[in-house]
Amino acid sequence: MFRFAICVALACLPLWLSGCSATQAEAEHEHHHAHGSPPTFEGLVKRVRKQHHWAAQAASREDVKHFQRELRHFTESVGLLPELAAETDLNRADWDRANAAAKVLIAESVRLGQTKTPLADSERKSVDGAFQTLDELAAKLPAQRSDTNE
Amino acid sequence: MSEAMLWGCLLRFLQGALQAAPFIFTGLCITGLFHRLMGQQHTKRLFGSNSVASLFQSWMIGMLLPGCSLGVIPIVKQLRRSGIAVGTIFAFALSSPLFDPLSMLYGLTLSKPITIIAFAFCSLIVVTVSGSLFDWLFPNTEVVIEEPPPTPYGIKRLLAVLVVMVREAVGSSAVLILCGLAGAALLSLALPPSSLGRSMGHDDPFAPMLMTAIAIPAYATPMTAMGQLGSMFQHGNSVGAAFILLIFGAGMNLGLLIWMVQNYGGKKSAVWFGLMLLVVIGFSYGIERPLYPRDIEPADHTHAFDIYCQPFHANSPPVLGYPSEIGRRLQLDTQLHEKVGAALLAALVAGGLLLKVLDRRWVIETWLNQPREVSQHAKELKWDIVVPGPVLAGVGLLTIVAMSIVGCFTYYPTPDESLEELRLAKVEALSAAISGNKEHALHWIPICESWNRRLQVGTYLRHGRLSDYHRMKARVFADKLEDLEHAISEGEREEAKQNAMAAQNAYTRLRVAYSEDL
Repeated sequence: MFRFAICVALACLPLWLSGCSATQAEAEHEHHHAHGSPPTFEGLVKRVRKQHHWAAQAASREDVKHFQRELRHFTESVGLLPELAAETDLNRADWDRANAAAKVLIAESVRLGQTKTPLADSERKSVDGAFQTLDELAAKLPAQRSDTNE
Repeated sequence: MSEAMLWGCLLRFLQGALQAAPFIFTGLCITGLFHRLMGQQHTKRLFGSNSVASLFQSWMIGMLLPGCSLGVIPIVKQLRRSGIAVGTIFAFALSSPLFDPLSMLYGLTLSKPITIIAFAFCSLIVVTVSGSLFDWLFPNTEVVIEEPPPTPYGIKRLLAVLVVMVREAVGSSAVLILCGLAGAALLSLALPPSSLGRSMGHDDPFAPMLMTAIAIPAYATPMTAMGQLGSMFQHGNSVGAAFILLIFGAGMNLGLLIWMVQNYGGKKSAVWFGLMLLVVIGFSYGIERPLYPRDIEPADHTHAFDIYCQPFHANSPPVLGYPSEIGRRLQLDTQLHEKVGAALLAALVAGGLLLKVLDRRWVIETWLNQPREVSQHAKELKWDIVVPGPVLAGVGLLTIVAMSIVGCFTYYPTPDESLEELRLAKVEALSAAISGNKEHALHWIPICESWNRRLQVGTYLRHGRLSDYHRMKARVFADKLEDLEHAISEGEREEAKQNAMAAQNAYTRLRVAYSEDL
């Protein structure tokens, strides 16, 4: 079931990346599948970025119901980052970077929950930096699998 | 009542007795020091009585001295003999078993040490509020009991301390301690095996009430209670129930309650107990939300409270019979300091029984209290000074505190030693899990968990801090062990093998982190 969900998510990813707008039902379907437990640190990093994007989108649409749900999912995923990073062979310095990036994103989830507005362009630097750090760290783990059970 | 329940009750009694032995011995030492060296007047000055300041003093002394709820029984008897009020006595009796240096260190290395500090502060408020109210309602609880004649200085004075210890070891203190142990053993009769696994959820409003009913007769050493607290935080259980477990599970037992009723009557005991329940349960609901760890995903069940339940399943009796299984479990579970404590306690009991036989012909106290015969020709040496009894008692108490601090370094060895012990336990646990030896694996997994915790505390003790990185590596290993334990308990062979491999990988990363990256 989970493999199916991953396939669906991967199949939809190019459409989403190319800017194709999915219907509300399709979007919800994709969101639903993206909230299972991630197998790897790399998978979680991708998911966190998506969830942040969805939460920000819901905030700009002033869609309270979806905003609350997406924010909750984003917060939960960010909380898992240090633990999943510890399940990889990242060294201490890299783990500390992952942990620091997770703290920036936790602060962002708190800010998002309080202001219910997406980040202004001028404020994006630290959050983008955190995502970039996580991407870099995930890229260091090419063919490595985490020990978390699928 | 089934055979499994009766044998299980006996096992719980013996487990409790062995765990309590070192603390009971320490309690008897402290009683002897107060009785024969400190004296009633100085003991009362040390603790104070019938004032808010005395409640704080007693709480502070209780926090410093190592003890458990059974070990404080002879001490509270001595405090009463010293003319100290009930509120003050119970401020000490409740705080002494809650924390000692070993358990405090353990608590401070949990993921949220602030919770442990908050619990310690809450315990101070509990003893202060309930003690003040009780002393206000019943101001005349100080009794006057004639003090025995002083023992002359020298070896006789030290022997007198030992005599108090051996008398208490076979006297009414022993009966009350047995009652406390019996309460914990009888509790297991009411709780089927693993029946508390899903009952302490954060979202269950009745969790603190249920914990109150269990914790009062239950017996837990400070380390056991702290370990369970850690497990409760890790599993996202009710924080209020955890607080009650600490106050009543570690601080109270049936023997202590019987002593209260015997000495102060049913009415005062009921009022004091009612006040305690009111304050503690009130607190437990008050701290539930503010202290709940938000970054924890609640687990659907826990094995932390299995030690209060029946240990044997009626439908699967041990292959070699119950007595043999009890012997095996006691041999495997009992730690060195518990064996030493039990041996010392046995020696005191033997000495006490011998004195009881001798009492018919010769009472040792009469000989001990005879004044010294000083020769008229004896020269008075300049440096030969007589150290006052209270000074000796103070040194004795400080020695006990110092010994408990030294004990921390022994109990929590260097990271290298802990890693080596962990490696040995891990090999046993994982190989048993892979080969399908369920019992062997389930025995060694908690030992791995214990060494994993001791690794963290030992690192904290020697380096002054524990980094998030090291804490997280240990948490991942603990999580993998728990997954493995669940898979084995549920008979999932394939899942157990996968989890064993995951635990091995987590261990390898843990070892690298603690041996190369400290």
